[in-house]
Amino acid sequence: MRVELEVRQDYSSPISMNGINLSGLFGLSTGDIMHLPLSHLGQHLMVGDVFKVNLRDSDSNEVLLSGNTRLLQYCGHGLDSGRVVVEGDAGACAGLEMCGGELVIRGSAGDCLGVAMSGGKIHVYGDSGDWCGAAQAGESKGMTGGVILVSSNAGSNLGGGMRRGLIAVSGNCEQYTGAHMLAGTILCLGDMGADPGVGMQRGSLVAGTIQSTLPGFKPAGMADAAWLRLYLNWLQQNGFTIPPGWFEIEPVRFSGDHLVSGKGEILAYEFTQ
Amino acid sequence: MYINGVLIDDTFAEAFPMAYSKLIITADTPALAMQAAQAAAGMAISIIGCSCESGLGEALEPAVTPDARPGQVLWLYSYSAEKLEEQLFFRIGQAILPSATSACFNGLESPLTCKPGAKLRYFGDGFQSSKLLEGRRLWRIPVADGEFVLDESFGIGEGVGGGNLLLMGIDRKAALEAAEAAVIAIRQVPGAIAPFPGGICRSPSKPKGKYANVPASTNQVFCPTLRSRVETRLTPDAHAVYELVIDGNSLECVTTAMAGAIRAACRPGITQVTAGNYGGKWGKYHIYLHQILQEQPE
Repeated sequence: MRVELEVRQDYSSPISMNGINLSGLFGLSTGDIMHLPLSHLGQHLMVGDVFKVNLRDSDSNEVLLSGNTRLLQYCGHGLDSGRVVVEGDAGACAGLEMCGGELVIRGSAGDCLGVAMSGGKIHVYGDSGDWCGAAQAGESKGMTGGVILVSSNAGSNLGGGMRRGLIAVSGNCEQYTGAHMLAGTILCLGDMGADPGVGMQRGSLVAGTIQSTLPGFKPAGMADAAWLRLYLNWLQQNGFTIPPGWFEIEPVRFSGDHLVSGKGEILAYEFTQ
Repeated sequence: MYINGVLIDDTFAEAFPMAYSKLIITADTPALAMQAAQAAAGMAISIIGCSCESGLGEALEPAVTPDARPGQVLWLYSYSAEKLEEQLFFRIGQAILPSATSACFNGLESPLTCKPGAKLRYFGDGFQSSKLLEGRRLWRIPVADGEFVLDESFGIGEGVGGGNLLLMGIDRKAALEAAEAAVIAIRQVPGAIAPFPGGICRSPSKPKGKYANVPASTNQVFCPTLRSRVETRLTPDAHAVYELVIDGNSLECVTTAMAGAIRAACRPGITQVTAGNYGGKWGKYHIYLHQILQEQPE
C-alpha cells in the first residue's frame, strides 16, 4: 500500500505531525487518514486540512510526503516499519523516537533528526541540522540503535549522548560532534568541526579531518582499521563515496575523553593541529 | 560401467549430515591470510580423531572481503552444531587470533548461528570493545600488532560429510597421480573440501576393531600387504589404494565433486574406482557411483 500525502499550500509556520505514526496509516481508508489530528500554530487541524491524500496499491508499505514539506515537523515520529519518503526538505524532529522502518529525505532535514531513535534507517540526501541522533532535551542518552546517513553536511552536537548505532556524514560537521557519547559510531568523511568527543565515555568518532583535540584526548598511535574498513565497505554499498586512500591507509588514533573514562576514540585521516 | 577402461564399481558411498561453517579470514597479504587459514585447518582431518574436518576454499580478492583486504575461505565441518561451535572457538582462538594481521568473519548467512566470538572476546581482558552494524556484532580485541577483529556470530549450515571414493592402482605412483588429479577436480567445486592431507587418505578405516577403546581401525580389505591373509576387495592387479573423502555444503555439491573426481581419476594405471559404505545402515545419504555419473554428464 502506498499512501501519498501532498501538502496543499505553502505554509509559513511549522506544521506538527507529532503523534502521527506513519507506520499506522497502512490499512486505513482515505477518510480515516484525513481525520487524523495535526497541529498548526496551536490550532488543531486534521490531516485532510493540510494534505491531499491518495492511496495506491503497492507491493510494499510506503508513505510519500510531497509538496512544500520544509516546515513539516516530526515526520516519521515513532516510525516502526515500512518506508517513508519525504520528497523535499523536512522540518525539525524528523524520525524522532523511530524504532524501525526507513525514512528517506530527498532534501535536507531540520534540527533533531533521529533524536532518541532506537532502530531503523534514516537517509538524508541533503544536510541535517543540529542535534542529529542526539538525546532529547533533559535526557542524557541519545540514539540507542539504527543508522542515520547524511549525504551532505551535519550541524552541531551530532550524536550527542549517543548510546548505540551508526551516524555517517558524507560532508562536514560543526562543533561538539559526539559530545557526551556513551557508545556507537560516528563517521564524518569531511571535517569534524571543533571539540569532537567532549565528555565521551566510549564509542568511535571517525573523521576525515580534525583541526584539534581537546585536552582529554591522548595520541594512541595508528588505528588498526579492520573494523572500520567493514563500515566503509557498507557505506559504499549504501551510496557513499569513500575518499581515495581510506581503504589503504590507517588513521591516527586518539583515546579519550580521559576526563571521563578514556575508553572512547577518535580516528582521523588528517590531523592538522 | 567403464570410463577410459577403468571399472567403476556398482556400489555407493554412505554419507552423513554434518554441520558446517564458512569462515573468511583476512590479513594484510594473501600469504598471511592463507597461513592463518592453514593453521586453523590444522589436523582437522577426520571427525574420528578431532570431531572436526576442514578444508581451504578459494582465495578472495580485497574487493569481496568484509574489510577490503586479501582473504581466504575456510570450511569447517562437524557432526553437530554444538561440536562445531566448540571447534570454532578453539580454532579461531588458537590459530587465527595469534596469526599476524588477521581478522575472522562469518561467511555464511544462516538462520542457525553460534557465537564463538562472544566467548573469544574475553581474551581482551576487559579492553575489548564491540561494534554493531545492522545487527552484526563485531568484537575488537587488542593485540600487539593492533586489533583482532572477529564476528560474534557464525552461521551454521547443514552439509554432507563422508562422500568417498577408493582408487585402486597397479602401483603406488599410478594411484597417487590419479588421486592428485581427482583432488584438483574436487577443489574446483565451490563448497567441497577434501580434508585429508593433500586431499588424499592412505588409511581407509572401518569403525572400531579387535581392540577395545579404538574408535576406528585399518580397513584390511584394501591393504595390499594383507591380501593373502584376509578376504580382500582389491582387484587382482591392484597394489595401492588411495581414498578420497569429500564433504560439501549440500548433497549436490558432494555428488558433483565425486563425479568430477571419478572422471579425473580414470586414467592409465587405475584398475577400479569404488566407494566405502557400511551396508547402508548408518548414513542418511547413499551416493551411487553409476547414478551420479549418469546424472552429471561430462
